[in-house]
Amino acid sequence: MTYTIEAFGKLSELLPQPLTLHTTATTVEQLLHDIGAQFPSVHADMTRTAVARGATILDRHARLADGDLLALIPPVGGG
Amino acid sequence: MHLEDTPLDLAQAFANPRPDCGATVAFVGTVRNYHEGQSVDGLEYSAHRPSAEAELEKICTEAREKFAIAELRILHRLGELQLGDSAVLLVCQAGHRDAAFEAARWALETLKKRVPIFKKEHYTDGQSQWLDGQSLAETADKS
Repeated sequence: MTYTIEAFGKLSELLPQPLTLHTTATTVEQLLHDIGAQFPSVHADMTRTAVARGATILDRHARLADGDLLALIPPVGGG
Repeated sequence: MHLEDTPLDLAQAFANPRPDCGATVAFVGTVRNYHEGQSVDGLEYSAHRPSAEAELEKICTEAREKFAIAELRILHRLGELQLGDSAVLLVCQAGHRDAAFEAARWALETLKKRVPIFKKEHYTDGQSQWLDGQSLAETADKS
């Protein structure tokens, strides 16, 4: 599977932008695990990182599709 | 649209008051010069625009359902902000003040927990830090 990943907030400074990831991951949980394994600088952040597809924040068990454009969303800080 | 790349227009936000509303409550969040003992020099806001716009619209809809209000408008600034700049503007119109105050407070607290907006503080000593707030991963898993 190949995903294009855009990172936001602090993650935007720790990951290549944009990131094209080739992986066997097919769920959000597996994808976050793979990113943490490939990029140790963000490993600790992955447990509190959400994944969005379009305007939707996905839960960890959501299934991904080959070619998905995904966003990595760290904890929020608006207001 | 709720996200703005240019300074928030406070006058525009108050334009067209509704004749059926006797209360307008406004909140303006501005950039403060300190945070947790550090001297702040400025802020940088960024957002995942698709989900942030959708979530802000959802908060406005939920507020209209939850409280006896007629209108809620939320604008949030993105980009580099200086001390004193307006970061967030919330204007709530209702028939009576109680509902307007309650809805405005609820909407602001909800924004801070649910909207994919990210804040980086710049300090006077030259250091910078991304602030760590609510994780949307935990929220998504519970919904």
